[in-house]
Amino acid sequence: MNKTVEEFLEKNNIDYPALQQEGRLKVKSASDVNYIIARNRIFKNSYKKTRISIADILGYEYKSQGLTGQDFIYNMSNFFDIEGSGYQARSISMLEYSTDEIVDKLKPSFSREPMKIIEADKGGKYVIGDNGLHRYHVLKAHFLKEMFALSLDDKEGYNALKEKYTFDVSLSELDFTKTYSSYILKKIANFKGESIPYFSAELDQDYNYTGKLKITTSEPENELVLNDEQLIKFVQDRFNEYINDKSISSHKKQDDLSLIMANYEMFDSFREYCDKNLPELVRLKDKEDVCRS
Amino acid sequence: MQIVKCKESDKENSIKYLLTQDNKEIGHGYIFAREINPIEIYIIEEMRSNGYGKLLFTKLLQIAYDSGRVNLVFDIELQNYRMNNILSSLGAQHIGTNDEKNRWVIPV
Repeated sequence: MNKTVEEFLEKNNIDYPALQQEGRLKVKSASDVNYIIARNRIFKNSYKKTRISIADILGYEYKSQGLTGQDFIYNMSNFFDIEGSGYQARSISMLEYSTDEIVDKLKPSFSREPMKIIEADKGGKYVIGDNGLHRYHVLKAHFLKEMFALSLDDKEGYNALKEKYTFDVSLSELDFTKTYSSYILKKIANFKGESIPYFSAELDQDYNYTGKLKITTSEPENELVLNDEQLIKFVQDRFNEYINDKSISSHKKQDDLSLIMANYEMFDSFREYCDKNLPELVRLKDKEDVCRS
Repeated sequence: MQIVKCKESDKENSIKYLLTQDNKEIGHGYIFAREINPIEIYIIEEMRSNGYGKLLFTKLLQIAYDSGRVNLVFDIELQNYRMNNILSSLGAQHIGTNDEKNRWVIPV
């Protein structure tokens, strides 16, 4: 940790060791939150104007900054260093504000230049997209300091604090149906040794999402463009075709499906998608029986 | 700050441009004839995180548009934070994530 960050912590009475001990300093990337989504995401809205609390922004793509996800205060040295490069020195003034001042001082910047946020999963889980890493670190540090001062059962106090640290953002909002459908279809193609289709959101002439998904295979003339209803039917048909394929051994099917089933257990939003759209998968999971051939 | 078109390019089917300041190279870029990733940029490491990448990319984008290119499409690796950020900041539409890459479309 550099001197600039040390002085910031000291000036604001931020109890770094206590926060470390409480395990509150972890940073998550989109993959850490939900790797299925991170690798298959389709958005329904790329620049939605909304308000999100710092409490719900779980992290950023730390690896691409050459950092780890262990400790965001430690990572601050990458963003704030009075003796560093332009990137590290240019936002030093943010560190001058006290906990009482920080929200009011930074609020105008959110209207002028909103943080770009990416939805990482359902249930209010977000990460920083581009723009906003300096502000994120400073505000999170002050937020955690104030949160640490609350008693554990002070729900009202916590909610008020969350609201205090809520700002205007530009949000990339997930389309869970298309994201998870493309995941399932890629998996099935992989299980069957077929070439993996390419999935992309369709845009209209004004470059806005139409709400449909384009599926492009190695035969571009067979490109499909499906709305959600058609997409779900397509996924169900492909899944049932795979399960009923007598040329694939039950042992291989069991191996293939075990990863999908593990993800069903791990991710609430994926479970929700499967419960709604893939009853056959859920039935197989419940019975642990993939032998239809 | 200057962007200078080179007489020759060291990459096939491309035009090369240099970004310089006070006759010192800050970076360079290429405009390719191909459909996917028609623009590539490179900024000297010690000069990064100062906005030069976005500046150079925006200039090359304008050159591409002026020459009649439309619907520029980019496949950028998920870990390429800088390039993903440049595209997002220019209002590109993210249309998919496949093979560990984000696909972006920049409208004219």
